[in-house]
Amino acid sequence: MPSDSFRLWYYDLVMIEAFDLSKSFRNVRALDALSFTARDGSVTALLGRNGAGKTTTLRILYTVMRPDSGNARIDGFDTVSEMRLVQQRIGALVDTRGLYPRLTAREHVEYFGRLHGLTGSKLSSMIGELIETLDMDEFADRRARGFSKGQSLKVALARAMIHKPKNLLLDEPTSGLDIAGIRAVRELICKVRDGGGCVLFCSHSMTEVNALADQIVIISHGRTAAAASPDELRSKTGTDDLEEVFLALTGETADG
Amino acid sequence: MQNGIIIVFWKETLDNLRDRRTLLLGLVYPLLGPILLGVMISLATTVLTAKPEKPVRLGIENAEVAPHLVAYLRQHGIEPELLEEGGIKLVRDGQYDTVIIIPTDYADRLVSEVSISLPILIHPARLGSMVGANRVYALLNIYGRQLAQERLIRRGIDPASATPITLKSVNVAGDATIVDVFMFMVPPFFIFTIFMGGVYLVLDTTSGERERGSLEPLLVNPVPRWGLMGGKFLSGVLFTTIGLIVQLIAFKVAFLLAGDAGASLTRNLDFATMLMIAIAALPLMTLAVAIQIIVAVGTKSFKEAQTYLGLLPLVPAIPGMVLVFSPVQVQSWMMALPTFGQTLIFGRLVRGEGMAIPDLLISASVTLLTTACLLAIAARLYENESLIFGK
Repeated sequence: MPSDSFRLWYYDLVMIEAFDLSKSFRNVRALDALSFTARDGSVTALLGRNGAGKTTTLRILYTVMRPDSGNARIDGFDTVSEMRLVQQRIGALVDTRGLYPRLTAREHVEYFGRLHGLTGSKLSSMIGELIETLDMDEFADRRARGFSKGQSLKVALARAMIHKPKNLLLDEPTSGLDIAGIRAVRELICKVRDGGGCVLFCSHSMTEVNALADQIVIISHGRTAAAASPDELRSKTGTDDLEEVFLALTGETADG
Repeated sequence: MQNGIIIVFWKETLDNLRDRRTLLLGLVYPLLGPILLGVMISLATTVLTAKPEKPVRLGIENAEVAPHLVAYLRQHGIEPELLEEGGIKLVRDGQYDTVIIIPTDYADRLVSEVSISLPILIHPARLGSMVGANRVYALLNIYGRQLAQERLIRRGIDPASATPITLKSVNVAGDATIVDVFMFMVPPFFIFTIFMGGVYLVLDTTSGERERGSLEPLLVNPVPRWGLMGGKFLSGVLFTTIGLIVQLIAFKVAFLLAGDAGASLTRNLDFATMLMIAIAALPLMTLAVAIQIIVAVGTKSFKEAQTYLGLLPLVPAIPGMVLVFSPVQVQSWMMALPTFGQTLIFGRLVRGEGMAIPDLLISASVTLLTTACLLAIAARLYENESLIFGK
């Protein structure tokens, strides 16, 4: 085991760490000894084909699933044995982002804020801040029934960030958003990164990855096929197009 | 560390107060029992305690051979219609309460003092007709006795010696009436409400939460899952309690509206009794909600859970329904059976037989213990990934 001082130094740099994660559902091996790290003050993108294990990885990281073997740490805290400490440090836009149709947008954010132990004026000022940042004024006090996809996503993002988490775990953060919505989310991600936070997201959109990612982790068949900066990946595969990079890397490992 | 119970409780309560379906089931369903019983009591009493002035519709076939008998009936306020034939059909169709068919050899037999068999047609399914028929039946019995007495006197025999035993009914039920039977029907309605009151809330907050995809985000919050479940559980108990209170008040109102007929019920169901019923019901409500949570978490979909939970109240209500027709001698061990014990306690309270505190304690403690075990199971289910993700 690393010494405490090493731990402190190490986790000063590495906020999210997955080590040898394996997970099976019935006979399907979703993750097969997957490892990667995501650094402080950077945006890391998880890339992979459908069913490659991106969502499962995120679910383990945001503590709703336990790995069969291996472990994951956030800010040095284990996602299973120190689940509560992890939950306090992350904001997650999860795979299923259903809302309560009879609660208003504001009440959604308030509910999660209270579950994070926020109360009173601190809570309401945080809510106000998020409503402004995400441009939710227009529907903040409307009930969620009938919200557009974009509006729902903003509510889901707001409730995930009410406690100002240093680490963001986002599953498809811009899917279904219009251009203004995409821009708002991108700005939010950059804001967290520039504030020294750690953002991990998975996406199918190459433009998204191109625009945001400082580091790319490509997952294929439950394993890490590559982990590097976009430029490194481009030079490694000898192509300028990230899409080509992606196909080359996932294609290669698909055979092996 | 906070467990989130209170936060989840408030959220679910507010959320479901805005849900028309939950409100409908929680507030309108409990009214069905009181309305049903109220109507039944009113109907039953108007039919059964038919006023004497209500004329008996009596038909007589071959009346011409028994003028004395007809005169006797007229004398006692019954105006018979004289029929040719077809009495059976007329009684069946309900046109007459009863018809007596006088044998054609009636007069001869009467003179020669041979016993006469006198058919009196009745239709037991027509409660209203039975009241009239019973009057005719009783009058004819007396008429027969009078004839016998006359014969005995003519022979110089004291009629009293020919009737060595005279039966005399003594009513020990106090002012109890047929209506009191309905008291036995009240407890099953309570049981029904207890097991139905929280169903939609529990469905909405467990199966519903999973199906609309709001469960996964909820689980990421830094509170234990048993805390989330605990809040939902308490909200379910609150809604069930509201349902039962609504039902108690509705019963009171229904009995009041039933007027004199419901008087004994109204008297028994005073505020103290209603309070006792609510107290006795509380442990059972926790049990019911715990079962609902287990079913809702353990089933794959909202619809599947809904099917099971719709049937659920029937099971605990059965013992109570049986008790309507065959009351048992209450024994203490019965109190240890959740739902059965409460059914007995409710029955006693409703009938105004008071409350044995030890029985209440036995019933409450066993039921609460069962609830605790079920909640532990439910909390374990909440930790189960495959149930959360339905895989």
